[in-house]
Amino acid sequence: MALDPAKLAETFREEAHELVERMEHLLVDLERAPHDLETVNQIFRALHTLKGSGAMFGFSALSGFAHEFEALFDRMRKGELKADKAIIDLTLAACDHVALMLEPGAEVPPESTRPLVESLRNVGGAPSAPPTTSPAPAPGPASPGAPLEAAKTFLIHFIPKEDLFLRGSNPLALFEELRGLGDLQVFATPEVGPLDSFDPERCLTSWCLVLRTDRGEDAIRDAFIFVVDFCDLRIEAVDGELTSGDGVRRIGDILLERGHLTREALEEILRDRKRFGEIALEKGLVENAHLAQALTEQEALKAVHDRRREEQSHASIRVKSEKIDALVNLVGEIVTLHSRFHQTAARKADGDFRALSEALGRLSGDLRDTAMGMRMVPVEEMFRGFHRLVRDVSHEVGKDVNLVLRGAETELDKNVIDALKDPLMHILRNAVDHGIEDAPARAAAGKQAVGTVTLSAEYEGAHVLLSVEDDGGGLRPERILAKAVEKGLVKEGAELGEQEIIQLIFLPGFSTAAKATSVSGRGVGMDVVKKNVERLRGTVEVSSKAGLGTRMALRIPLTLAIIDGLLSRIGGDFYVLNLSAVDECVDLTPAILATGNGSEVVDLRGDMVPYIRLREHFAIAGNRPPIERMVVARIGGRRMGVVVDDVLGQHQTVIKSLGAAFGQTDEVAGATILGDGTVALILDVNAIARHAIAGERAKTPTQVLP
Amino acid sequence: MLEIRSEFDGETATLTLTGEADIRQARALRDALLACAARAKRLRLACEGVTACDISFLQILESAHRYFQREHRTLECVNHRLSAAVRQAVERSGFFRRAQCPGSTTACPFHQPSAA
Repeated sequence: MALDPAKLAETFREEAHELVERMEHLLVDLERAPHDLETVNQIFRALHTLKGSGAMFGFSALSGFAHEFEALFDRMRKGELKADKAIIDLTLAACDHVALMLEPGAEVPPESTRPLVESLRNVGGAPSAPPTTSPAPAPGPASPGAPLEAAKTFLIHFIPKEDLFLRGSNPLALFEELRGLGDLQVFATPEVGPLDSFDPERCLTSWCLVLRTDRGEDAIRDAFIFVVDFCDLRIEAVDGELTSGDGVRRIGDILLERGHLTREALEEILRDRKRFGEIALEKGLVENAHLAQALTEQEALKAVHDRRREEQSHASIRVKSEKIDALVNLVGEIVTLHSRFHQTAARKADGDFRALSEALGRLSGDLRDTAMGMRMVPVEEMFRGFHRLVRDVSHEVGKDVNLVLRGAETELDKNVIDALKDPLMHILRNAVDHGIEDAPARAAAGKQAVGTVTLSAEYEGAHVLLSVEDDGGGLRPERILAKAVEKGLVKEGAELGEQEIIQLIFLPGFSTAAKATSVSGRGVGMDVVKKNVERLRGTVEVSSKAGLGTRMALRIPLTLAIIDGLLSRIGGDFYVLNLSAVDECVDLTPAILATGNGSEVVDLRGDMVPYIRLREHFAIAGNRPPIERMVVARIGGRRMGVVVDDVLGQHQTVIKSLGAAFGQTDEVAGATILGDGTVALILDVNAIARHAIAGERAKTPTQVLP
Repeated sequence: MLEIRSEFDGETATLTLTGEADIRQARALRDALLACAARAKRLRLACEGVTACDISFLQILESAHRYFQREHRTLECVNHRLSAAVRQAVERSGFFRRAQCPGSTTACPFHQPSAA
């Protein structure tokens, strides 16, 4: 048998972690709305699934713990308990414990679980008897106190993949789980061949299930959570009234739907006036086993009105992100290849060839958009996770802070979302710890006692703007400057604008907190935030109003795989600069150069802009052209020029990784292949500027260079 | 684990199953059934000692039922009975049939006319 316990366990862990995350969100929601029974039910169902599936996959300790956890929510469902802060604290700790038990190789000793189990049992002051049974199915809809929404009948088509048994899944256990939701009828359609042509280790059966429940479709889907990748699942709500006549599913329809009968055969039978089954058998159009099965199903389905909902395609499959990355990579190859094809077509001056190239271009463009779209996911999941963060941090620092989420439906590349989690956590922690004032200060300022931190996302062209805004006291430039001087980051008496002073918070080791706390770190946070965001080719902007609050805005490209670049040339080599950072392109005429009086600075309409000659920076041999071009980029709130020989124009760039050989430098973000097959390096202007600044700082250590 | 024992008496074979009938023994059970079918025209299946079973076992029963039907041979359960565990699995997994297989000359092991 091809059973791989390690793989099964890994799948279970992945799915169980998602359940735990979801429970955390729901618990934070429940704290805000403790009367919301639906939230209690959702948590109960998640725990029930965790318990049942944990047992099925051999995580017995976890299943036992989930059972205790679930018992608490059962009491809430029955109205014996109401969620309060203490319960939410305890249950969030229980979630952490479940996450710990899920860690690969984790051996959580029973003595560390016991206190939590005791606490769960003792909630409400009256210790309840420990459950004596092993994980049991959830109470049916008739249980006292169960959520009473109108019962509905669902028709569930469950068609497992043939390797279901080999993955350790047991449909019988699944059906028991469904029985916990309500009144279930099960009809199997075994598609097994005769003994001599049949693989007994394959699952060759599909099922039609009729479930009458008051729990809704989500609860049904929850029951299938661990097999959803290994089956075709369709759930349809149908009317629950007993009907007759046209409302009853006919034998012919059942057989036709299952592919046991062709439409032609059906029509042939219908031309006769005898009983359908008799004719079908007489004519040898259907196997008797199939007919018997269909007759059984028909008998049960007489209880169900055949008024199906419009078929909704909720079907989804779980795909490893590496597979999508590989697909996007291949699509990038196709886009590049098309670009070469297009150039060749243009050279050949052949009409047919050009038409083909244009058609291929449209197709590869659609393919690119589709592939990129597969990686786009809403930021909602990440956002909701921050509720718990803000809750925990505000409790720790003794403040009352409300997190408001906006634009959670905004979609971003999954890889970008993963990389943004840490920077946003830092910013949110800072907002709660440093941004929001304590209660007396807020009262003195005439503000509401509860502080508000707003996390929002919105599209901005090819970027997403993520911002964290607090209604605290705002940044105090004089304190920032004093701290920077004290730390030797700025020369005493330096004259800096407000924005320049604010940029100082991104310097390594900078912190204005009187005491470093475990919450907002030790002054390394904002430096790390900036670096991480820049690694995503994004920017961070800070704005602040004294007494009103601070806003951190992260502008992040929608995707990491393709950028709009500015194609430039130095000597015979090509380089791509990220267009999003580019403000303008300027010819470096002798007149403009002269405005710098010999320094590497030019006066652009009154704005003094420092510049870096890439030819010199990269030590590229050869002579400079008489008139160079300067690409002016905005970096950290300041403008800076990057000088190249020539700017060739905009270029949509598919980023290729350069691999470990180029791991030492962060100035080159990758490479791309141009239409004629030439390789162009993609430059990270931020990193180049940073290195140039560091070089300058090394020469003059006390100079102000944020 | 499942214990599989076969006995032959002329053209009749009796296959006695005892213990847990699940996927671990699925292949062995299928082979035992085929071996019986090769030597006997009538197969009596004694399942009363089956203490637990899974879907793979029910599939094998279904497959055997179809095979014997196709070969116009007889497959029957001893005492026309399945064990309580198998009966429950048949009922709960939806393998039961309220109607006898139309036109079949072989008793269907899943026929449960009065099942709850």
